[in-house]
Amino acid sequence: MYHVKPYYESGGKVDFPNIMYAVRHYHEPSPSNVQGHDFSSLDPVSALEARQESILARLGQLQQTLTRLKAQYAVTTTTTVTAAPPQKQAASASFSVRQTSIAALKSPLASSSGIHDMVINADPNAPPLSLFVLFEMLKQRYSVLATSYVHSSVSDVNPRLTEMVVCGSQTARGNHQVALSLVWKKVENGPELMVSPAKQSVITGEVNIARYINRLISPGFDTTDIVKATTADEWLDMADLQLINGNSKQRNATTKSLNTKLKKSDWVVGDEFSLVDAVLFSALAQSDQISSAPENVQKWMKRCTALPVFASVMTLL
Amino acid sequence: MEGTGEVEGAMSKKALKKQQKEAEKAAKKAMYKKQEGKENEGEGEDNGKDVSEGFYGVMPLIQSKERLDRRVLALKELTPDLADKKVWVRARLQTSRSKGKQCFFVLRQQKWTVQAIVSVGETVSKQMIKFVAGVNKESIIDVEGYVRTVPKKIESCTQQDVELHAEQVWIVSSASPRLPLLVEDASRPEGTDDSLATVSQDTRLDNRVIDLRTTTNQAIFRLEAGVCKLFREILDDQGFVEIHTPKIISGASEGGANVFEVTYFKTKAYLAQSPQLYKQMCISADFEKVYTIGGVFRAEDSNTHRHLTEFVGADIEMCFNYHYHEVIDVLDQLFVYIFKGLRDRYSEEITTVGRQYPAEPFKFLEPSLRLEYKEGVAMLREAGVEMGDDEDLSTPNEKLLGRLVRAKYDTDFFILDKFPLAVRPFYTMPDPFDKKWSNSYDFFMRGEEIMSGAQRIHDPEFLAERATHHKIDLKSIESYIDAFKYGAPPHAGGGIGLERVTMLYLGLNNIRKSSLFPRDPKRITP
Repeated sequence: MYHVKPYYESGGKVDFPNIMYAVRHYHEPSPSNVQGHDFSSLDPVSALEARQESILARLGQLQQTLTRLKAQYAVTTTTTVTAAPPQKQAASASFSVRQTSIAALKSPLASSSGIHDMVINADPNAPPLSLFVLFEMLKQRYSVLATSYVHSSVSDVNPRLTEMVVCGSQTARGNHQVALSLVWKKVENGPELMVSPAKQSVITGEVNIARYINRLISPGFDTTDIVKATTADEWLDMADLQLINGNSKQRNATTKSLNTKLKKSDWVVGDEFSLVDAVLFSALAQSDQISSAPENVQKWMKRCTALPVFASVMTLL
Repeated sequence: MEGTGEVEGAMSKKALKKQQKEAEKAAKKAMYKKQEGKENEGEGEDNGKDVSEGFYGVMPLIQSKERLDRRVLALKELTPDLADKKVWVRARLQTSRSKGKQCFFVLRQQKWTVQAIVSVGETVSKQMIKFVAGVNKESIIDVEGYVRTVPKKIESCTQQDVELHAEQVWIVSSASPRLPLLVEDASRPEGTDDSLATVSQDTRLDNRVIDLRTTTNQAIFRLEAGVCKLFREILDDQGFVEIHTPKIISGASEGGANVFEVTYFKTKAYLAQSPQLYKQMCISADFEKVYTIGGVFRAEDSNTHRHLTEFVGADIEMCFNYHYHEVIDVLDQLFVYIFKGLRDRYSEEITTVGRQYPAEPFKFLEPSLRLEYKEGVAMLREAGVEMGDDEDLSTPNEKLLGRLVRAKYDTDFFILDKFPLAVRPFYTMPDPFDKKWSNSYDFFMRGEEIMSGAQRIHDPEFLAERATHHKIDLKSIESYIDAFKYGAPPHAGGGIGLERVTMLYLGLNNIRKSSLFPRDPKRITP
């Protein structure tokens, strides 16, 4: 073939502008980015091999974690493959961030015609209190048909529990917007939510269910004010990880930081009662922290229980 | 009196010996009673003196000649409490295995089994061992022996802690030496181990008498009786009246075509395919709440796992005040009561059946789940099924809906309300707000319809109008319409097939398993 001169000069030093901070070339092997392994001293083939080994090892770890989670929540592969996000909302979330109007947001209710039936499985030995509060709030916004069922796998459910979530009449089932079917049964990893078995796998955990229901009550709650939503999310995660599923040390730490937070404000997030308050209250109750709670938390609990939406919860305490 | 079942191999020596023995036995048998307490006379040898004479043999045909004052225990009563007591039992010989100087055999009585043993000793001769080993399987025998505790549990029997050391063995009723099927084989789970024999459905049904002896079948039909009992219990409790309706009728009661024709003297009659007309007439006759349990006949030439030409229908009909949901409430309670009763009172039977026919336990909710038809259709559409709002559910769609409901609500039982008017019979009351729908409902168990019901039209003029709309000749249903001429209360009802409910509750795969002597287009015997 004929010879061509390179169109650029190789080997020349390039002057980078120094207005930005320097970043290491990503294609150059560096000792720091691969967990203490130094591949530069090896010949290219063994370096490649070593790198592959370390990648495989990390993938192995990931797989283990995933298998453990799968085993704990008994997820079948078929559902994860077909599972789509529960609501179309997720896709529209990116642009709706900029919107301030709640009405413009697509509520999951709008997309489906007919009654929107949510099924929640809860353990009669650990009733999710926040759910009862959110149920009261849900009733204020929608016409709700709520039914409590006792599953055949359990017997002797406290009749007070089965009376908690009851509303509307089956006779006019089709005239309701939302149906809430609460099934009392044994659940291993906290309450479960199921809306559409064809599209989703089970949503587990009281906190996640509360998030879902809250999206129905105020569709814009986690998109209108990002900062507030993030703070709320942080508290919700704390309620789940540190209180409901935490050890005593984590529980103490959380009540302490809650106490500090409530010194300055009446409610945990923002200046009015929100689902965060409801969930934290329920988490404290379930982790046996109510009686031992510090002063500000006690006062906040009194404020909560004075609310009309807490009336039904009070009958259980 | 010579035992019909005395069977040995073809060896002539043995046969000769046996003849001799039987002749002796026949003579001894007459003196049976006197010999009860007879002393032993030396060691028994094959051809020598038999020390066990009078302690074994074929009992004379029981013609109720005398009434023995003898307590015969049930096998289930044999527990370690009776250790070292001498008892009489009467049971079937399930299996026997002779090993030199002793013979092990398993006795079975309904679902209970116990291991028994005879071994050569002071009162037991070799001849007796041989006799016991030669008793045909499935024969009914009387055994007297000592209850002994065993050091190691007997895993293969229900009475695991004791065995019976037999002293006397008498054949009460001998089984034929060649059995068409073995109870052991018929009790095996299907398709587990290819090396072990299982019995085909047809062989079972041809020899139902032996097939029904399996513990599984004993449990299935006890549970089926339980369904009936619970059905009656709750309805009686709620003030229902049990009625009996005629099975020979003059015409197809609801205008249906699937009726059997029978010769009725010089004319023709039909077998009732539903007690509905008579239930409704009783409502018009002010019984208010009625139920009936009886045979129902369907001349449908369908050979499926869930159709029979004759089955037991349990039907209810009741009047209500203002809304047919009053009736659905009663039906809801009825089913929950039956399911709970089965779960709590028949758990042993359910486990027994599950050993041969494994199935997931039946799940239900209290109160029962109620969905509207259009919700069901919406769920199916979401799962990718294309169907119209007022289209009827096809069998596969029914199954799919059952699976979807189970995935969402975790229940095997649900009620689907408000069916499209177009897919229901003419006597169904239309929905008051939208003529597209109707006041009718289906109940489902494990994705199969078990009950179909509706509010019936109780106004004769409206009924005639609907019948005309369905192009039904008014002449043919005259008696039906007449039943409402003299004032009838609003009423609704429905009916279940007993076999189908049992089948689905237990998760069996064929309705012939839950029908004692099934009748289908291909079988009317036994």
